[in-house]
Order: sequence, then structure tokens, then C-alpha cells
Amino acid sequence: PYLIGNFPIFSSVIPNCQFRSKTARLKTFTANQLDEIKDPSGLFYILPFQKGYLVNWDVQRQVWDYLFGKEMYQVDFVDTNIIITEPYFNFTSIQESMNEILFEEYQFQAVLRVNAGALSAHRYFRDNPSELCCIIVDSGYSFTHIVPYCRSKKKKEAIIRINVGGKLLTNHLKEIISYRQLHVMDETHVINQVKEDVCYVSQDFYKDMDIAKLKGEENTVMVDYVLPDFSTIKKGFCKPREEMVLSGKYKTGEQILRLTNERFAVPEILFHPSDIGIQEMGIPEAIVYSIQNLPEEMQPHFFKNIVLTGGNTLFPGFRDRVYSEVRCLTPTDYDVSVVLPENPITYSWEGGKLISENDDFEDMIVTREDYEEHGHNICEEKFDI
Amino acid sequence: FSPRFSPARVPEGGPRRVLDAPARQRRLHRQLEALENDNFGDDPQAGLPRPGKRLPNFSDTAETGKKKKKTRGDHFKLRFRKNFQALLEEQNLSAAEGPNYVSAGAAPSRLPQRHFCAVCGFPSGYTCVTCGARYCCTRCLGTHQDTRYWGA
Repeated sequence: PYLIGNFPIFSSVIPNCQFRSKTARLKTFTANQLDEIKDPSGLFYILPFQKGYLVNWDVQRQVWDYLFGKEMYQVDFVDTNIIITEPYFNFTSIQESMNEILFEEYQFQAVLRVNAGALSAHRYFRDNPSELCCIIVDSGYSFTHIVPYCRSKKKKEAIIRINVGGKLLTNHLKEIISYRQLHVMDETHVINQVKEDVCYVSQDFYKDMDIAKLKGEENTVMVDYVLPDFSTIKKGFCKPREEMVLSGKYKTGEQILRLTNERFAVPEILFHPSDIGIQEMGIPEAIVYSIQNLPEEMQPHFFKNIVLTGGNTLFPGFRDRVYSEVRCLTPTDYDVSVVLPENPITYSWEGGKLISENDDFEDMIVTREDYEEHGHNICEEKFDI
Repeated sequence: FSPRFSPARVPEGGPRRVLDAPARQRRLHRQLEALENDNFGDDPQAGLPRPGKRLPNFSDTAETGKKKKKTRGDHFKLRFRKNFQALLEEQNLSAAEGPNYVSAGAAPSRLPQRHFCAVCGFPSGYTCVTCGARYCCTRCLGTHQDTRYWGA
């Protein structure tokens, strides 16, 4: 591990929201206090973000107060620089509020506001110094963005936003399970875990559909998922194949979900949003559309450097499926290469770490003195959001 | 008659209600909006009385050496509580004026739309006459008619 001062540099992934539980009334849990909740059934989420943009500053400030305070990172603001990521085309009013809160309320020494993709691109170019262009696919909770980067500058005119994200996939899964098997509309946390454990991306959609219809042993797609009851079973899990009762009912008292086509039909929405009625292109189509709207001499460079980041890329089979679909839609004389980093969720954080160690980091940031002298204008000039 | 289609399913007397295109659009729109929710139910603390303003903990004020700049009260809160829709309208964007949030939205797919049975999720071939939902076999049609949601 890398060391600066006495602190090893590592990343932790902490939920950026608050939780309320039906069982522990009167208490609101902030961020990673989620782990303290003994019974996370019917968990209520309070997010500062709506559709991917920061709208609720009350909640965000409570999360930050907790993270920066004495129970967590004990930040000494006067000596601390902060790199913070923002969504693409972030609204001016939100950017200005962010400046005010970081500089005037928390009083950080210096701030760098960037798009997450810029950090991912920086990280990618560090591994591939000979490449000039790359296209970042960032598929997260609220939406998915396809962003081409050329020499560390994003190509604004080719950015595409698909309004499908992890939240939509989980909500859809909750609806179909509630209709077909068991009412789980309140159980966002549990079904999110089901989605992460059981869903995968199919390489051949109709073939998997046919397998999922079969009965008994031949149905290799079918899985029985044991739901947690938070007293004996703390975490849900898939029943091992040997223990599955393929015909008839289970004798044990556990609550079981039988999942067949849901396993791959849910992530399929990322590839075909029209499956549920959202009239937008899927990820591979959007990648090709975005690149084809760029100058022709640059296109081969983008096809060779497709980078997948964000939580949704963790579905098994995601990378291979994106590759095969993009390959089908691309002229044969272009090379296609799709990269899924080891940890797609922290990839942009790693980029941020590299940037903070750069020599020209000092030129990229805006210090508190700069802000007090020039106000929002200097942030608008220096930060490319 | 086939024994599966008991006449009791169709409302007695009256004509069969058929949802027309705008109603189907509204229904689809409502379903898609529901997919954007963070939560299904209400806040568990919604009905409870707010805990009265607590006196600041003695340890808090003793700990922090420096004072936090006071927030400017109501004006601050009002500005910082707008919802997404309000902020988007404030920006006043149009797709024509250069790359922005509105123009970045993905265009409709060029591939044909696929349809799935509303009941079991497998690829469907048939459409319900009254409400336009898809189904794949007569058994699923039966389930659909039993669980039909009559809201607009």
C-alpha cells in the first residue's frame, strides 16, 4: 500500500445517502451506518440526488458532516484539498451552490471539480500512454453516459445519456417479482442484493429464453434464491444446485424466489431500453452512434479504446456482450477493443489519485483565496464540467 | 364455450371497455415514472412529531476550535431545496443550442421493439384487446384478466 504521512491511501465505497428503518424508528442512519442496522427490511432511502443531479443539500450536508467529522475521517479543512466529481452538464445553480458550500461552509484549502469520466480517462491513458483517444462508458445508479475523450478533453457534442441505471433495474426487478411471486416493493435493499447476486448478461438472448422455459434439470438458467429473514439468515443466497427441489414445494420454512428469465431480462434493459418502453438506444448502439458522429479520422482510435466503468458493468457477461454487439455494428476494417477494469467502481477514484500526484495538479485546482477574490467565475473558467 | 373463459370475468351487462391510445400512453408513462422512485412506501418518520430543537451538546462546542460560518437561515434553505424538475426548467435549455443536458439524451433505437408477456416475461405474440398488454399463451391471458388493473 502507498503511504503519505501516516495514512495509507486506499479507497472505501460508502453509500451517499441516509437510511430510515421501520424497526429502528426515530433514528436516521447516515452513509455507512447502514452496517449498524440489524433489520434492514423495508429500508427507506433518502438520497441527496434526483435523476443523477444533486438537489437536496440538507441530506448531502448531513452525510458530509458525518464523513468529515470526528466519527469518520476527522478532516482538517484548512490543510485539505478535495477532488469531487459531478455529473455531465451539471446545472449552473448546482455548481455555484457546490462552490459556496465547499469554500464558505466547509472551507477547504482547494477544490477540484471534474466529471468522473475525466478521471477514468486519465487513469486509462496512464496504462496506455500511446493512445490519444478513448470512449468511457459510465453506467451507474441513475443513468449511463457514453463520453468520448480526446487528449483528456471530452467531446461535448458526442456525449450520450441513456436514462437507464441501477435504480431502474432494481425497481423493475421489484415489480416483476411482486407481480409474479411475492410482494417485495418495499424491499429495495434486499432485491438490490438479489440483482447483484443472480443477474447476468446473456450472450444469446433468445437461446437463453428457450432454456429458461424448460422444465426440471434441463433448465440451467433457473435459480432458487433464499431471502434473508435477518434473524437466522442474515444475507440472501442462491440454493446450491444439489439442494434444489425442482418439482413440488420446499419443506423448509425459508422464503424462496424462483428466478428464470428475470436473471438476464433485467440487465437486458441496458442493451434494449425499448424492452420496457423507454424509447432510447441501448449501450452498444449508443457507443457506435456517438463515435460515428465524430470526425472520420478519429473513429478507429475510439473503437480501439472502449472503457467500461460504473457499477452496472459488474454483471457477468457484460463486457463480452458489449464487445460482440459493437463488433457487429462496426465496419470490419476497424479494430474493436472493450476494456473492463479490475474494479470498475473505483476506477475513476484511482484516476483522481493519480491526478492529485501530478506536477500540474497545482494549476488545475482553485484555492480558497482564488475563490474569495474572483468568486464563481474562476471556477467556471478552470473546471470543465 | 371453453371452460377457461368463464363469462363472469367480463363485467355484467356493460360493453367491454377498451383503453384508447392516449390512455395507454398515460399508463406507460406512469409505469416509467414509478421506475424512477427511490422508495415505494412513505418515510417511516413522516407522521412522527419532529424532535424539538435540541440544545447543542456541550462536547461539540468544546471540541471544534474554529467556528463554522453561520448559514444564512431561510434564504439558504429555500435555494437549496428545489427539486430536479425545477432546476432543469431554470436552466432553460433547448436541444438546438449546442451540447447540453437536453441534447445529450439518447435518440430512439433503430432496432425494432421487442415485446414480452406481461405475466411471465417470455417473448409474447399476442396483445390484449382491452388494454394493449402483451401475453404469450391463453393461460397468461387468464391471469392477466384476473389481475387487470382498471385505473386509467
